[in-house]
Amino acid sequence: MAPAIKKYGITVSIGLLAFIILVAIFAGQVAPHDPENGKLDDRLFGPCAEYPLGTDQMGRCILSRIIFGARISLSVGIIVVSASVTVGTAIGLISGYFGGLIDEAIMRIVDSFLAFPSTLLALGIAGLFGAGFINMVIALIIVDWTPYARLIRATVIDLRGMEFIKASIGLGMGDLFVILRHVLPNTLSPLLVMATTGLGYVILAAAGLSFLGFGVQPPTPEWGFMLNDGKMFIRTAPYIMIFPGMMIMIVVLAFNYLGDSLRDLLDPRMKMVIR
Amino acid sequence: MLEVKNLKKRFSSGIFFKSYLDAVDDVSFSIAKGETLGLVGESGSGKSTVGQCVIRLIEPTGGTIMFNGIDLRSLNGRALNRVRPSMQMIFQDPDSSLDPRMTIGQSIAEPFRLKKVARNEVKGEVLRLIEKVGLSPEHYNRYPHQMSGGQNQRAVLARVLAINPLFIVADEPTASLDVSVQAQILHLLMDLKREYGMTMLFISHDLAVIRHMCDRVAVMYRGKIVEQGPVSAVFESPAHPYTRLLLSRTEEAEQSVKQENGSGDAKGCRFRGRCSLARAVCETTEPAFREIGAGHTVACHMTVLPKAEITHE
Repeated sequence: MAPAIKKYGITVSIGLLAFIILVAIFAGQVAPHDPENGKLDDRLFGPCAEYPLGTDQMGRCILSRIIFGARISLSVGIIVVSASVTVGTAIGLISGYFGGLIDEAIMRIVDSFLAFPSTLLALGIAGLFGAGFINMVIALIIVDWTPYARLIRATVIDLRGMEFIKASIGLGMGDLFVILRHVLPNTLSPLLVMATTGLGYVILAAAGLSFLGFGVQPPTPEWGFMLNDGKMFIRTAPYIMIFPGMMIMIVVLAFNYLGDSLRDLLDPRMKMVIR
Repeated sequence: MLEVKNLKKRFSSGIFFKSYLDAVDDVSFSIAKGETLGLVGESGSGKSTVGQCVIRLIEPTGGTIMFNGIDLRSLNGRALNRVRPSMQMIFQDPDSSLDPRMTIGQSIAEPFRLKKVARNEVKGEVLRLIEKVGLSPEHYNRYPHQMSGGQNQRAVLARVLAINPLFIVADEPTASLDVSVQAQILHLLMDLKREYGMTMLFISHDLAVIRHMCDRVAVMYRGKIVEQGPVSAVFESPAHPYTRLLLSRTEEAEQSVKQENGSGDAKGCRFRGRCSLARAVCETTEPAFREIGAGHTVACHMTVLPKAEITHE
């Protein structure tokens, strides 16, 4: 792909995500209707002037529910990814920097987490704790931190062999100082790429959990649960499923694309050319 | 200043079925204050491992290292970190010796920050060092990837000077540089060493460089020192067949030998497989060091023979 298209693409995905985030923040002002209480008289309307994206079986405005649902999806994504990154980075740093038995022990634990299909594991944990927003977040964190730990560990092992880390140790810096000042900053770019792509994945997984009834409970609007709501009417009123489904797709794609673009942008070889 | 006795480093891999490699085996040498000892040998001879063991960047498996009367191997944690600034290392690859996310100025300032020099004085000190190593102030805000290898190696030297160490390990500091830049860096290193009165362990595979830089030289072959002595003595009357081999074909010397069963042959002389003088005694007994001149020692069974007989083809 030509660099111009790439730059254009990154602007589009950032713009789109910024727009969605703003709409989510100001949902109360932007949404035309109450997302939780509909008029039963206005059930199953197709898109019209009053309800741009139609209404569901309870007469609730789908546009308003999508707007409020963005809050849930985005906050799940951000909370889960930042917690996973924090936990994964801390564990990966310890594992990679100190190596030896600590590393072996930690990595076997990580392996045992990775041995389960992640969606199934999240489902099991959410089922165990009971459905609900907090429990869904906890389940997703438990599933999500391991890839970050592996990534950071691999990066740190690479760095550990580099001369500037040895030189820093040779200067007589303490381990903590070396880690915070030289190791951590050099792990940031791969981490940023992975976290961005990870956001899309977490939003998708959260929607999946909610669709199956293990996530956010009604009447709170959530994209995954809206899909579930609409599945009975897929023949008569497909827009109930189509619009939230499209939103999930757009957000996930935007995050994935942003992550991809960041990867190219932060590649050190590319950076040399750009600077 | 530095006294290394019976240094050993064994690398092991695997948890259940361990395999070992004795990278450094029973290496002893000493360096007097202000002296430069050259360590020469082909790739894989363990010379870099010795350099890193001596300043404890790699944990040795055996032996003692006395540095100014301090037993380095007995130190741990904070005590070790207090001694570390007095011994510094210059690595082979200057481009990865500097943190890629820090400017040259920030990298050189690191030691000052560690010594808790006041912030407003640091920049002046750094700029002074930048000029001292032949860089210009405009390099202060550059990143390592914006500079050449030679410039980066100068920055590394500036960082070393910022600590003002007593002892430097220079591990092939010019091996990855262009030939034209090599000489500049070597001269700078010599000038600075003289000015600051530093002691140095200079590791190289390049005999010409060793001859130029060092007072004494130790020749390593597969983890052992085989000959040691003043540069003039070793270069003019090399006693060990391996030293002769190195001197006779300087260009090919770097060619690594295939390390057939690395550590298995504990018995006998390690060089016997490539040695044209090998006799029965070389198969069974490891040669001990023998003094053949002032401070000139060699570990070879055949050196007792008159000179005419031990010329190596």
